[in-house]
Amino acid sequence: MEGVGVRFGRLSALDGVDLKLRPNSVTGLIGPNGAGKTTAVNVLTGFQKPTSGKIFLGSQELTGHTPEEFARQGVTRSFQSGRLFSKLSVIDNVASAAIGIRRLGRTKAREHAYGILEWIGCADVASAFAGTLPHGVQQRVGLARAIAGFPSFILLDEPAAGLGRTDCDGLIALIQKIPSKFECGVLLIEHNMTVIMNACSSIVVFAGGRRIAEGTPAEVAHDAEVRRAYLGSANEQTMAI
Amino acid sequence: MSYFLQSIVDGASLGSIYALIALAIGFVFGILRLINFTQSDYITYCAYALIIPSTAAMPALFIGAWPAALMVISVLLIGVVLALLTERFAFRAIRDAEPEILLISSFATSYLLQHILMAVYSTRPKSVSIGNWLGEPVAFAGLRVPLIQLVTLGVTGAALIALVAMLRYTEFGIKIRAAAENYRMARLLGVRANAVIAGCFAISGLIGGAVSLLLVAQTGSLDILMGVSPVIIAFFATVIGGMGSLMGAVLGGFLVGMVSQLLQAYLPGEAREFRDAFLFAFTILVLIARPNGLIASSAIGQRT
Amino acid sequence: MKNNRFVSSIPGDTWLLPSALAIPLGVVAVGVQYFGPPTIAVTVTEIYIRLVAALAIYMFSSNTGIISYGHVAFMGIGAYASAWQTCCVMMKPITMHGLPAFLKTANFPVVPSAIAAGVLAAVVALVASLVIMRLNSIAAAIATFALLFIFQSVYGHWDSVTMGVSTMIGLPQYVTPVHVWIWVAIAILVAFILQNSSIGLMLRASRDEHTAARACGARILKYRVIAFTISAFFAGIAGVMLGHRIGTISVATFHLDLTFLLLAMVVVGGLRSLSGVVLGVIIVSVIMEVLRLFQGGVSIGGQIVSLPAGSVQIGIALVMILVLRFRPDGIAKGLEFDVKRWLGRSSDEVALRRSDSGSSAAE
Repeated sequence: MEGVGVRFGRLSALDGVDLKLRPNSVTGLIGPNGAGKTTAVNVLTGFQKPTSGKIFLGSQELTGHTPEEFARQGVTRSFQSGRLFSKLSVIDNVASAAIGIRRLGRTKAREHAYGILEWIGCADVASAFAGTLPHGVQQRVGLARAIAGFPSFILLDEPAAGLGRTDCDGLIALIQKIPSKFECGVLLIEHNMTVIMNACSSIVVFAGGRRIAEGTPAEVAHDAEVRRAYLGSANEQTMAI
Repeated sequence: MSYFLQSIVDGASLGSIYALIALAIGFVFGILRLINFTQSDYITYCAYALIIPSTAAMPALFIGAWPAALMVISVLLIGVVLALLTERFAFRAIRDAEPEILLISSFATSYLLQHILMAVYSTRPKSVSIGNWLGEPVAFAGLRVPLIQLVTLGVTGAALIALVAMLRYTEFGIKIRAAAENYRMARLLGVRANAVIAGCFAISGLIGGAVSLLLVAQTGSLDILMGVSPVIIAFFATVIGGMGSLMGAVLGGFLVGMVSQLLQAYLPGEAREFRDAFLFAFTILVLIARPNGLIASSAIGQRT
Repeated sequence: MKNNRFVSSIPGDTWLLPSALAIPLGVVAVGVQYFGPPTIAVTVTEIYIRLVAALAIYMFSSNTGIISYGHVAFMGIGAYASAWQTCCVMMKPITMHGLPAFLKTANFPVVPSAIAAGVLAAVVALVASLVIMRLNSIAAAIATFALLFIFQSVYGHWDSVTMGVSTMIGLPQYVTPVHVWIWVAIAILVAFILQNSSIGLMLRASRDEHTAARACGARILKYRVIAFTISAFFAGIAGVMLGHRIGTISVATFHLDLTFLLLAMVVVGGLRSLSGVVLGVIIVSVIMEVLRLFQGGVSIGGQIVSLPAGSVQIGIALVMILVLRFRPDGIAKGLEFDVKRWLGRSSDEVALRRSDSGSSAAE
């Protein structure tokens, strides 16, 4: 996206931000609370119309399109709070993305979904109602649903939020494999610095609705402005990884 | 010109009744996400309390025969008690259910109350004469307006002002507003939620009583369904005004009353009969243009 | 393939469910039509007509989560459309002089007329839903309610074709239990196919989580319009059946009372399963008939016991309120009859299993 601004009344959530996602790699997006990370995801998936700036997918402009169109153009997402279809089975949750986006028939969509569930390690709960699952499994199913829509870019809004250490590590390992396995780019929003430093090939840092840094994990970790913005006072101990 | 003015007065008088009912519906909707169809029963029950239970077409007066002040107070009290009873026994237990369940429950409760009344009084419309003198026309600003219209305007105007003042300046009113316009807040009120919700129902019962007296004085008749039509129109008025916004409800009520009277006055003869269809189509159009009504309330908006 | 049991959307044996619902009803229909007393035949016919109407509401409301208060309007549209085609050819030019010439002077066979009437209801629903299905679910429910009032206002005053509020008489009374049952069976089948289709799946997804469904690219508006249109066709058919059962129609029939009754049936049985709706219609109808019987006076131990007028409505309202309070998912709790287990055990135990939208995933 280019020079994107989003204002809610007098409040500026994003202020002329440029953000480029590279295909076939994991880009991390970090920043303190209120930095505009979720707003950026909403803009990039059509849920929030930017008040200024443009959004391109390749050479195609998508500014002003609906979320449905974004999804069908190949930009899918997960939600911070999961937002699974709680009264549908897990496999139908995942299949629905393939049906909605690619208009697969139901049988084909379920085959496709089952493959993804196997890969992600949730095949054993395929017939359970999504609403009955523990939080960690729900997060994985949310990820599977985002993958199932044949995306060229997947935007993951804090998929590891609220997970225990083991669950979190497993999930991040999976996310790292997404680009090679499904040939798509990933934008990963994450709070946990350790996680994002390990998982991403490049990182973008937001603060106060602006992009304040971009680069490899090592570059970002040693950027003075990042440290200031992210930690208030520079704290070498926490940042050293 | 005077025809136009006459229509405006008619519209304002009708609109003020709708505005009152819409406000009652708005109170309860705001706080519970419940579209309270039993509002129509508050009106009907209060009206029927005026007569002695009977199936006759010209029944003897009961409360209606009491001195005016006592009659008014008694009717209002009946409205309040009935509203509190429905809150306690029909809605309190299910108030955390999904909005769809609440909607159907209130539909069912209203149907139940309506048929209980029907079993006692039969469906035959009855004529009642209270306040006949109110039907006399008076000259007013060059128009001949039935006194009852002026009384209606006066009563509803006073009630609206009193309610708005109560909402603005009393602690109870501020609590109601906070709860009605911010749904989460209502939940956070915790223990006091019961009192605030009961208060909202009490007010809607009070309004039901007042409206019933105005309607009976206007028409001189009782009908089992007399509350249904105004409540449904008032309900659409709250939709137009913006559900969850109390000012929106008042605005919507007046707007619907005006539109309805102007359609009545200015539609060509044949189309006039379809006035209500135009009115409801108008509701749908407003919903399309402004899904949250004219005055959108923050409580309705969805976050992605 | 170990994942076979998940992927086949409608395995052969799940057709058992619609069959298990439709076939017993068919047996009853044949039984009462050819061997039962006429009063029972009338009762069964009435129950089946309500079943078609309730199934119509179910087709739309169970998938979308939007409760439709407007389907009775489509029943009315269907009933009048059929009457225009089949009723009283001698009187039509006078009583319904506003009809187009081809309807005014001729009558048409009843079955094609019924289908045409259903199509008219569907077309009206199509146009209306293109407008109202853009709304969020509670506003859309309100808008369907507005449809009912628009219908009442238009048909109640359109004297030249509907005779206004007066009762239209002389519709051919061709409706028998078996005839209605055919429509019941078709409606069950269509409801079943719809809920198992991609459309049904996406609609139920958006019912749970509208935002996430959008992120899945679902064209919810289109799907809602399709479901509303199909369901309005069946509502129209139910209206046709109702008119031709009694032989008369009036606008007042298609108003709040009927709306309430149908919603009660759908709610009591449960909006989330096909078995629930069938169960709901039967249970509420039986309660109604029993109360009606008592209302007329029944002799118990030499004493005539009779309930006051209005007991039927009061009783149904109470049942509905109690169900909503204690079992908001309805008596069937959103589960379907487990036909296989039932057949396998050959006992009279009626087990319910998780429907999982018709797949046999729970096995």
